[in-house]
Amino acid sequence: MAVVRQLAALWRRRQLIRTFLVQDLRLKYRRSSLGFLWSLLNPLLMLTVMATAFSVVFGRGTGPGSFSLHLFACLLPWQALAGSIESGSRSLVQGEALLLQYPLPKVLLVFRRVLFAFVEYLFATLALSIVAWFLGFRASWALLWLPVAVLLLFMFALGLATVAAVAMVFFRDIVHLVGVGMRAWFYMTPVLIPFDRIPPEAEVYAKLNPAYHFVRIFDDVINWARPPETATLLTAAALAVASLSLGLYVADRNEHRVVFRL
Amino acid sequence: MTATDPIVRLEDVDLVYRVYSNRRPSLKASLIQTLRGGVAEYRDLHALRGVNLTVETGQRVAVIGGNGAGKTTLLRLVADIFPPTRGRVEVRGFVVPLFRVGLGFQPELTGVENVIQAGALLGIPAARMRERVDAVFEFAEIPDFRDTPLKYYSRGMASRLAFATVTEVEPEVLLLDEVFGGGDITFREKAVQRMRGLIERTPIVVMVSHSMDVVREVMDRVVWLDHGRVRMDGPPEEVVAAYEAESERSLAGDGVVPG
Repeated sequence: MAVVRQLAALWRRRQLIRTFLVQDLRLKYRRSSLGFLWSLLNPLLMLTVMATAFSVVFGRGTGPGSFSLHLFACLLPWQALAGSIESGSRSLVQGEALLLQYPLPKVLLVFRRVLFAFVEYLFATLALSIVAWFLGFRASWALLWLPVAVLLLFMFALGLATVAAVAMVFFRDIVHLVGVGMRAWFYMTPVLIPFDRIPPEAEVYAKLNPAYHFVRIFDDVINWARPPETATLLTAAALAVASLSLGLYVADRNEHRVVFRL
Repeated sequence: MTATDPIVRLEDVDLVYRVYSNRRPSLKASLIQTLRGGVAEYRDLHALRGVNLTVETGQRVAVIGGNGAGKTTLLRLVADIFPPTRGRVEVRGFVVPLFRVGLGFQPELTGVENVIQAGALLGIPAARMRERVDAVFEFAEIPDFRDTPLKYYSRGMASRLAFATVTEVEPEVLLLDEVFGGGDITFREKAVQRMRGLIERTPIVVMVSHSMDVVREVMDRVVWLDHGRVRMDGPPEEVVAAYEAESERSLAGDGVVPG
């Protein structure tokens, strides 16, 4: 019930979400003279640096299953997740002026940040796929799974970001925990390590990390050009639904409390 | 009066919220407190008590009272930003809240973008808002600043823009906090005129005010809030006179301004 109520509230304000998105994009690309290019340069440089540095360990190869393609497939979704949670978690605290001026659904401010992170992901992926082509990336039927992967990751990210955003209203110092937590989480997720290099005895523990399953889908679809395994897909879907439900439930419970603690 | 006329109705409304002693709540402080076996220090603030208020179409209501009387809380309640703890709030009509410098303008956005965003926040589609942008900037007398980020505006210019935007969207229920000023002197005269026009035209106006002159001249009903209760409700002359008399009494006495 709470979940439906919150989704309906978002749907009712879709005009506003669109306006926010257009303006967030404009702002982002206005801030520097390089504009749009600059925003693509950042993931490109990051990718290049990491691919070069870790190729010493994982080999310099290209093509399906190579480390460089694995990085291309997994780093950008990870950044979308991390960016969503870091920026989304601050959205309510930073949105004080708006929330005390207009009767807005609280989850809308979180949604705005998460949506923006994912739009950036799409731009970066499109642009970097040209670079990835030189690394042996080729379009395949498996890519039809990509929208599913993105949607599941989006739901997962929105749920977690909403919980963190509400928590941050009540405990402001959570902002530090989120930063440190995301960094730790990054190293626990197979982004810098290819999936086939995880020691077999550690596999069980690696799978306890929810992000494992999401990143795995991206790796299968983009790096290996093969459809994701059913088990991975179902696990990710279950986690996505659970996270989003929890987030919307928390938002609904606190819909009327947040404004008093801003 | 028909069933679709704008109306604001508060029935026996109480609003209580918790005020914590620490303004910036933190997990660290809470953990330390819990470890020490203490509980968070807070008090329940009874911001509104048993407020009954019905404002019908054609009424311009000023809300007066001392600091902490619940004036801003009352506006936020009508704006659907604060929920009532008890009682019933019914508001019908297109509500436009104008508090502080106004409309949630963002410093990084340009003037036009801020106007569009304010429209979107009020539920007006961007396309329809864009048609009105010219008129807004013309009235605000800052046509050259349309595409300048708001952070380069003076305070006066920003509030002019907010004011011009509100006047352009034709609210049915206008909620004004007087802290939102008219801007600089030259504009103020024009703003006052336009404000009067807007107030005449707008079916329902509820305005928090500290200036008794404005209250007497522009409004036709005054609600005096005192520690969250409606102390008096009636024509401006009577209520303002009673309020001022009490203010003077307390100043002469123990120096406490009425709540």
